[in-house]
Order: sequence, then C-alpha cells, then structure tokens
Amino acid sequence: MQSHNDDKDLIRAALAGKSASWQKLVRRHERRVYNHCLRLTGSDADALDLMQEVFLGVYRSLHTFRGDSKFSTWLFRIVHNKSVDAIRRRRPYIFLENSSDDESALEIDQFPDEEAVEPYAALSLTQTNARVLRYLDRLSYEQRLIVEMKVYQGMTFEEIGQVVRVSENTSKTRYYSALKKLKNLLEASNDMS
Amino acid sequence: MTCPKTDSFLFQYFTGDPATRAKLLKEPHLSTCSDCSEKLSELLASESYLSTWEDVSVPSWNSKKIFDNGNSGVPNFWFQWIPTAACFVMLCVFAFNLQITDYGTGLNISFGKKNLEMESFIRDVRRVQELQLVEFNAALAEVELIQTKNNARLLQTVLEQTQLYSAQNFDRVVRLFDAQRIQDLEDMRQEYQQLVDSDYKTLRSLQQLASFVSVSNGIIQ
Repeated sequence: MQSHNDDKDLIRAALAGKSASWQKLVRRHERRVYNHCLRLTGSDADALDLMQEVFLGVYRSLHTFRGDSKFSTWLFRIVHNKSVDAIRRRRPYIFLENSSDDESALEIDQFPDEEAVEPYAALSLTQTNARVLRYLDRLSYEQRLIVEMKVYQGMTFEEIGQVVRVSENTSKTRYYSALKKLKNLLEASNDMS
Repeated sequence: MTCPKTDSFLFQYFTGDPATRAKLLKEPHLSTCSDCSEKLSELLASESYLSTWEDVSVPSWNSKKIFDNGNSGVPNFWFQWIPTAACFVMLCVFAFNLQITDYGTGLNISFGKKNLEMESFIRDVRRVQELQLVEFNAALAEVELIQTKNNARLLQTVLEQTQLYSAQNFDRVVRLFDAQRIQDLEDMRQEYQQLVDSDYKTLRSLQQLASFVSVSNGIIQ
C-alpha cells in the first residue's frame, strides 16, 4: 500500500513537471518490467527494446492514469499491449511457439531438447533462468501471460483479467491449465529436482 | 483409483488467494486422499519451479530518450488539449472573418476585411445593370406595342376579306337554291301533267267502254 501511495505521489509530481520524479518512477519499476520482457522475449536486446517502448508508452499516457487501480496493474496493461504489438511486428523465436491451449496437443517431440536450450544459453542467462524459459516457451502466449502476472507479478486474477481483458474465471482456467501443462513437461523431462 | 474431487480441489487451491489455500490445506479429505495430495504436491512443485527464476538486474539501457523527454516533465493532462484548442481558435478566427456576400448573380466568399473598392465597383456594375434592364424593358414594351398594332391590322384585313367572301358565297348559295327550287317545280308540273294526261286517257277509255256497253245493250234488246 505504501508503494502504491508512493507511486501516486511520484506520478503527481511527474505530471507537475518534476523530471526527477519521473526518473524515480521508471527506476522503481524498470527491474520488474525488464525481467518480464526478458521472460517474454528471451533476449536481452529484445527485452530492452520492449522495455523502452513500454516506458515511452507510459510517458505518453501517464496523464490518463486515474489511480482507480494500482499503478503496477495499469503499467502491466501497457506492457501487455506493447507485447502484443511486438508479436504482431515480428515473431521472435520465443513467442507463440505453442499457440494451443489444448493440453492433449502435448507430445514428446514438443518437449524442449538440448538444441532448444542453446539460444537461451547464448543469452548470458543463468542456467536456472534458461531452464525456466525453456518451459515457459512451451506454454501458449495466453498461458504464459497469466503465469507471468500471477507468479512473477503477484497479481490477483481480478487484476489479471483487467490487464488481459478477459473474465476472472478465464484467467483462472488458463492459469490452472498452464500449471498442469507445466507439470507434464517437468515430469517428462524429470527436471523437477 | 482416481478421486472425483481432485480436479475441483486443485482448481480451487491454485486459483484461490492465500487464505483459501491455507483453508484447503486443512481439509480432512486431503489427509485421507492420496490421489489429491499427490497431485497437489506435483502441481505445487511446478508452481515453485517457476519461482526459481532469478531476477536479472537491468543492464545499461538507452534511457536517454525517456528521460530527455522527461526533462520538461511528463505531458500534463491539460497539455493534450492544446492542439484541439489551437484548432478551435483558428476555426473561430476563420469563421468570424469569413464574408459571404450575395451579389445576386451568386455568392462571393472572402476572408478578412471587407474590400470597399470591390464593393463600390460591384455597386456601380449593379446600377448599370439595373439601368440597362429598365431600357431593355422599355424597348421591349415598344416592340410589343408595334407588334400588337400590326396584328390588329392584319386581323382586320383578314376579317374584311372573310366577310366579302362570305357574302358572295351566300348569294351563290341563294341562287343555287332558287334554281333548284324552280327545277323542282318544273319537274312537279311535268309529272302532274303526265298524271293528268294519264287520267284523261283513262276517262276516255271508260267513256268508250260505257258507250260500247250501252250500244251493245241496245243491240241485244
């Protein structure tokens, strides 16, 4: 709550013309946004590009933030929109590898092999992060987005629904099916340890 | 054997808030159902696997673009209306300085101050046009008058000619009727004469017959 109020103060000051407040606001959220972008794109450069676009979008529309929701929820709505734009512009290798929500579509040949790990390994990611990315990559974009916001951003399903513009129940269903799919993947690779 | 409650239980657990999760963990069913507890731990492991992501610190990035824009502060809510307001002001200036004049022959649209010289010139032209119109109307009336007189004269001549011809025709018709009447009378007279002659012959024949009869009777007696 304190952070929420701090955000509001910073936004008010930024809108009043204080550039230091604007910079502080960016610095406060850049790590979360960057890691989100990194998980979505799997590439340092793409993540930085996407993050820059996100903050430019925030800069341009900060005056529209009314404070009804948390700033992070509003911010992730922009992140979501920019991610969708990025997907439309180019299809990075990490995006939408699996677009199906159907769990039955999971087959053994879809399982991430060592070759699939290679691009991430080249991206100066830690081994752990590379492994997590490997599995996230096997989820559909919709599922990844829900997992991202639930697990990494700690958002409620109601907030997720607001960001993705789906019902709360839909986001719950997507999250649950994502977890089940992930469980199957992990079981198939015995990578649980 | 698969527990029928498992899926519903897991769905509630993983989509519930922390309080719901804690409450579900205390469910007696969970301690007795191996199926539910096993699958719960599997999914929990999957969820916690995602949490192994280690946040990466942000590398140096080109934040200049963002912060340079921010030097003058984030665009204020009211600033977004500046272009609209400017457009509105320009529209007002345009609307209030727009002159639409009707010169009779059409509309004249002009922008800015009134052009007095032009207006004076146009007034003169209109005056000349009006004078020309009056003269034209007078000439037209004169022509119409002459034309009317000519028409009347022509009509009179025609009527006179027509009357003359009519009288001659009437005399001719009367004469024709008279001749026809005389002819008819003559024919009637001749037919009457023939009839009379014929009757006379008949009478003579009757007289002869009577005299013959009387003569015959005398002889017989």
